[in-house]
Amino acid sequence: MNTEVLEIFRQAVEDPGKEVREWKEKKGGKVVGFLLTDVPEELIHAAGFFPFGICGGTVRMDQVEAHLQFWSCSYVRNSLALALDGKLDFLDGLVIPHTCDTTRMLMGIWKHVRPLPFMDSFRLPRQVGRPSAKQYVVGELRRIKDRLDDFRGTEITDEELSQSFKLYNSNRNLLRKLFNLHEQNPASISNKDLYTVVKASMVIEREKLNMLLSELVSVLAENAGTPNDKTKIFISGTFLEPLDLLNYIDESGGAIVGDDLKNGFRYIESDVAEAGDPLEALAERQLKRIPSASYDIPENLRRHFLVKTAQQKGVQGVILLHVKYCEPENYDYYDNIQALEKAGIPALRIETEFGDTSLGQLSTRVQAFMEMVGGE
Amino acid sequence: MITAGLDVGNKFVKVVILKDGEVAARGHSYSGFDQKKAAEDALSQALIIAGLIREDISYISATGAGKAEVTFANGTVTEVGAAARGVIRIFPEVRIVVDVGAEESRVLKIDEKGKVIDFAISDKCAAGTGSFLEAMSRTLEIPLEEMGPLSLEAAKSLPMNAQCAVFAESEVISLIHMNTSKPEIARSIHDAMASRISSMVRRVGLQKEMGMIGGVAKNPGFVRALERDLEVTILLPESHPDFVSALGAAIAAAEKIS
Repeated sequence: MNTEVLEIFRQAVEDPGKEVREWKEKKGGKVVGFLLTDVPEELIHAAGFFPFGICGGTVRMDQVEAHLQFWSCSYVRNSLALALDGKLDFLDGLVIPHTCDTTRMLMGIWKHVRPLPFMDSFRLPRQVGRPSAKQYVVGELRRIKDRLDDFRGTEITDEELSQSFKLYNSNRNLLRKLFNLHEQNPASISNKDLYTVVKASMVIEREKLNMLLSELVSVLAENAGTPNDKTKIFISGTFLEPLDLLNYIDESGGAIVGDDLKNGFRYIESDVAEAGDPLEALAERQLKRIPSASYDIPENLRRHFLVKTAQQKGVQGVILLHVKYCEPENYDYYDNIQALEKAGIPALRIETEFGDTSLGQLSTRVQAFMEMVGGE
Repeated sequence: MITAGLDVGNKFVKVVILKDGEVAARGHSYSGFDQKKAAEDALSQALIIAGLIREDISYISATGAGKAEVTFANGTVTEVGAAARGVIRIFPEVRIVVDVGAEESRVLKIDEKGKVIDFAISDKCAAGTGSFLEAMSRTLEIPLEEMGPLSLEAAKSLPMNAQCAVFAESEVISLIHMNTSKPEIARSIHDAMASRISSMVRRVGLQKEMGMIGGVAKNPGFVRALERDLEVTILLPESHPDFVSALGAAIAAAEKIS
């Protein structure tokens, strides 16, 4: 499937800074970047700023070596490398979700080497199941909103918040339609294109995104559906990277029917309630997101979620995608693999990195796994 | 029916021509920079031996790290799929296959039909592969093919902690400085390498019916080290363990046209 609108998304991923630079030049507005994706983007948007998702890219890594060792999270290293190399020079602000030790420490380094007018951490609770969690997150959201109010000079109004919620919900609704189309009829959009659109959605102006997504969904929905006879795959991990990995799944006749990735379905799975207290609504969404490695609930809901979703969707194999060297993800691995094994669901663990990864060895594994679970 | 299987490895290209289910000829060449040319050379060599011409072959299947380079092949088969097919042909009883090549090592669990049930593949690292042995043979100034037999002369092994081929080389140099005998160093090298492969075997699940293929299966020192570590007897092909995946690819080619 090759439509003009799909090409716009592909180009946005190719050069993530292009759109935002043009926006800034034309509108003279401010850009607030964020690390993926447990951040209240709606607050940034309601303040009139451009929320820009830092999605990784090809960059020289020599400068970052001075600040973060090679065994630190590859996403965090890559993000800081982009900043050090001037590839994020359009940023006026940065919000880092505190999802692990590395993201917690990164703020200090970033403030030191590339200070920006607005910098804040979104401090998330680990124990998202506790009754106190919601109260805590509402407080944290209020703190960030107050800081954004100060940075803008005027208070973000309820009306502005409501507009942003509506727009983001609409974006997410369209993206969910896309996932649904792909699941029902994988021939309509390839795995790689689907996740390219999700990635692009973090770097395109939200109003424009709505138009582009509406067009894409209507173009794809027109094509007569062929039933999904592909090998059904679930991807579990922190980030989907590199996108080229999906070529191997596409070529091996696989269709991804679910994920728990920060830059995948987990990003758009749920909406913010448009009625009631806006900060409570934001907190509610954050706490009820698909379980991730950053959450640490004694019952470890994630493994149950994996098994349940895989069974419901008739998944034939789960790919556990670990971005080097994500500690929370690695700690979750044992529970996840045990639960999958017990349920008789085959799983493959692969490690990837942000930036230029050599894909040769990954291809051997993914092709072999696809052959194993797909049957001949 | 005549088919060909091409295994384009990191170091060598191996070709098997299969005629009515029997191996008619083998060919091999250095992979080098131009893998497509290397594949053509190896195939021509096998054709000459078999007394055939290219047009006699109904289907060519390619496998191995460079399989995509072989644009003249009719199709490709995954490395794991090719190995499984080859193994089940030569030893139907084998359930765990250890395949150690020049740059990659793999462990496969297969069922009685040769279907892959599970597998493990080494990480981006040379320490459990043939290249590691080759580098160590240079350090010890011993021809590669003598490394294995020499290691069998040693009575004891010394622990090597390095997980990386580069650091392992400096450990070997320390052993040389400590006047450790060459057989003992050779054995330590094989033991260290075997321990990496055994951890992959354990991950997939150890079973008694184990076989080994790939170029390193020609090294008796390594096979013995792995047997000691896992406390099993490893079945080896009677000859040409490095051609088993090419054989598997030729079998996959035959499946395509039958």
